[in-house]
Amino acid sequence: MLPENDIQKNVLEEIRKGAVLMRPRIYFILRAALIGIAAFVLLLVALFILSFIFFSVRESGVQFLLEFSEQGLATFVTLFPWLTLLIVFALFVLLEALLRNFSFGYRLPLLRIFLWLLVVGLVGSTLLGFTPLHTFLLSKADNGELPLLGNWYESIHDSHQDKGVYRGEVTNIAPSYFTISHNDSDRDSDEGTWSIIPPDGFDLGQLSIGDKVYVAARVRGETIYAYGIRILPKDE
Amino acid sequence: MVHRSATNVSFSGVYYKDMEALSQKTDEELAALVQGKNEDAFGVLMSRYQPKLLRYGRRFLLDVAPIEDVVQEVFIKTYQNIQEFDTTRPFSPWIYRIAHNLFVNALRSNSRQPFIAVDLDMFSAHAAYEIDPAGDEEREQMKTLIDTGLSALVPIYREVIILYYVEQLEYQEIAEILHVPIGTVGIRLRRAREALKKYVTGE
Repeated sequence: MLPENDIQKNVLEEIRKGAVLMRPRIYFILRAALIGIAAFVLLLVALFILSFIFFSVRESGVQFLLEFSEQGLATFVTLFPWLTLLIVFALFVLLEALLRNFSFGYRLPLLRIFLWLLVVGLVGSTLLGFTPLHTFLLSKADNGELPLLGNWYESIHDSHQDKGVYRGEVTNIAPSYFTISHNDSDRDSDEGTWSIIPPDGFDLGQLSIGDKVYVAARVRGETIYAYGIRILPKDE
Repeated sequence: MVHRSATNVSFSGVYYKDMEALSQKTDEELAALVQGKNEDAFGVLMSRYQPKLLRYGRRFLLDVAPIEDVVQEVFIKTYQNIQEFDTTRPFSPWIYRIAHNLFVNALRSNSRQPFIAVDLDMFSAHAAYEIDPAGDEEREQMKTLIDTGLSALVPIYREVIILYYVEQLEYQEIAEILHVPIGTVGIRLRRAREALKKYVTGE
């Protein structure tokens, strides 16, 4: 332990010996710039992933499950990409930690900054959703031309038959059931042909051969009982 | 914060007159001179802040670490990073911030008690925080409580009590030192006062 009166003497001696050097101003400018750039990049990555979540929920048809009563909601919860959302959350936490290096970052309560990030994230990812970016990347992935993010994008087309979810084109309409078939020549895991019994009260007359449908169903043995059917617009 | 002191210490054989001129300068003026590599100006700054930082450190660290060594490290870091200081802003919170960081590090490495820097009060906005400048009577009352029960407080409450009642800093300055919103300072102070009173009265 140092005597009190030696503190100043020691420090000045260290400075004069050159053992303690003053960092140049540019060091601090560059550090602040790097933190700012890192924060900006993190924000862009978070926006990209968040908009991907919206895109994948829409593109995979998982969003239609919300229209299919409680059972549909339960299936929606199991199919929602929670892990990806957790990554966005982790990025926001990291971003918040970076922003706390700046005075505006620590003068505001953490929750308020987080809410701001959430608003920026939602608005930014919605705007990104209006661009053809994800559709373009998905088509690249389908053609095997997206090495880095290919698997991630192709997971949108994963089969969810184990959860009772089917997507396909109507190939046959019988008095008490209809048949759909799916073949999009991608990873093949979601391809097949299924005969489906519609829910009570569903008018099979609404369906036409060639319609694309999204079906949520309970599977009992070999029989598929739909509890929700959504006829997709022609361009989906 | 403008700080003038009559301290006259010769650090490198400079004329007493020069030292007197330096000692008349504000902290911020001295910091600007240090940025221009004026070591004597740094000496004057050190003599101004050494007693304060030792007092702050002793009360905050409660002898878990050799405080003189930590304060020496504070001055070294201050010198190394002085170019980061914006001379249009007050110097005091800036050097206290460096001290806070090093004291927290010392506490973390030397204490068995974990230091939790983030509390729930940092998350939400405290729009209704009170800036209630403590009167003489309250300060006197708190002095007794601090002498008796400061060591019983958790570090984040202990620190805010020291900075406000012992170092007599403003809420705004404390917020800048701790890097928390000003409302959080108010809330922590209120909780710390309550905890201190509770401990001392044995409720």
